[in-house]
Amino acid sequence: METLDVTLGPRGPAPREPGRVASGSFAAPSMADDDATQRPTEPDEDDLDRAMNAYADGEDQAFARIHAVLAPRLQRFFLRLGASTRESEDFLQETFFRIHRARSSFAAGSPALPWAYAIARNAFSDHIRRTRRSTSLLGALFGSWTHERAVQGPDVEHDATEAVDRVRVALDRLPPNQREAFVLLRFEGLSVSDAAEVLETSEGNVKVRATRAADAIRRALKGDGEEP
Amino acid sequence: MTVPRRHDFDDIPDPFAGAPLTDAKSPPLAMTPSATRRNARSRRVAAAAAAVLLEFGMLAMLGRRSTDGLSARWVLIAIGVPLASSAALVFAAAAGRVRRGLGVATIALAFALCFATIIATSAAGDGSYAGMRLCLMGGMMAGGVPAMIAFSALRHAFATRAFLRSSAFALACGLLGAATIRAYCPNDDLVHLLVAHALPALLVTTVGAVVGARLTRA
Repeated sequence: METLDVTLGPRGPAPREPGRVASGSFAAPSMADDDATQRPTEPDEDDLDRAMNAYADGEDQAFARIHAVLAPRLQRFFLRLGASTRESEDFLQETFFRIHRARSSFAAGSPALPWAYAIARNAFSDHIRRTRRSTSLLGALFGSWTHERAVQGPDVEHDATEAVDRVRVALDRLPPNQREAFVLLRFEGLSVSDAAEVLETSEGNVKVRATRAADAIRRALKGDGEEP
Repeated sequence: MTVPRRHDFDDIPDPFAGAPLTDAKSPPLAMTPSATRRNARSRRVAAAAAAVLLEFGMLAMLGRRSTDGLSARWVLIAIGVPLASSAALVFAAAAGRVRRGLGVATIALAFALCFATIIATSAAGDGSYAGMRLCLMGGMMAGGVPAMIAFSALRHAFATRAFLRSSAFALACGLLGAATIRAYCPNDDLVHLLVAHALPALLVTTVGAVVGARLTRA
């Protein structure tokens, strides 16, 4: 059994995240134009692709570069999917372990970011499945336990009034498949085709899910208070 | 539903943009080396060679049939149709086009029909039952062992669509086993072909798809 002991450092101030993910300055990728399947790569993504190629070829020093680019993105991805900060650190560690274990299967020349997101999603969904199984067993034995909180993670003030809090609440209420599609397209900057690959579904499905999620969030922002 | 366009989601703010994150510095690593591309490639070549050797070894041990027997068309119908239909269902279920329950139910029905045929032919004292056990066991071995070798060589290899990909490998191994047994077995009875040749391939495909998906998922 291979082991990867990734010791995460103490939680410090929020580092500047590489890439373009920033509140209010993000431009969503095109989904309807001719270049719908083209994802504009960024310098750090090109570096990530090169580093991942080197890592897959056995250059262990490349891991530092991979970690520098992926760690903040993936941790935010887990937070957006509904994990708490502590859970997101665990998922991050699990994801890097899986990346290490699967590095030989990374196809040369292919983009590393969707591949890493797919592994991260696998780690997250495996945890959800395990949690759901164990909580439903506990629930059957000891009555209804706080299943929803165990699965969904973060503390959310449901009477939040600010826009970001409303978005957070709305995200929390979305069905997982809609939330994943929306998060990947809006916040993680993946193209529709990359998101479809990560979610193992069709591009049309991704568009439908993301649009439904956006509609539900907009309703929440307007204060309709409807369940998505 | 309208197709979303560029900037369509820009009005929705990111609640986690400023979330405090773990230190982004590269962590200290303590790990045993995982397989690199070169290791994986040689492991897969070795696995393929081992699978082919196994088939030839089995044929050498059992012996090759001397007659051509039944026409290829009937063999294709007897083995190909149930295999192709089960494989199509497995793939469709993996791709999400039909509900997995339907796929599982249909495959279970195919198994039930095959087992019912075994019981019926054995009760009737049909001659085709005589060589069935050897073909069943041989087919499962000739298909199952290569599948196990393939999945061990492909461990944690698929980040996406692990079920679909492992199903394809399992189907290939099932067909390989069926072909090997077909090259040995002189019995051309259609019931025998369906039960003793198609059933092991079906079993290898379905069990391999499920087990392989767990083993090959990254």
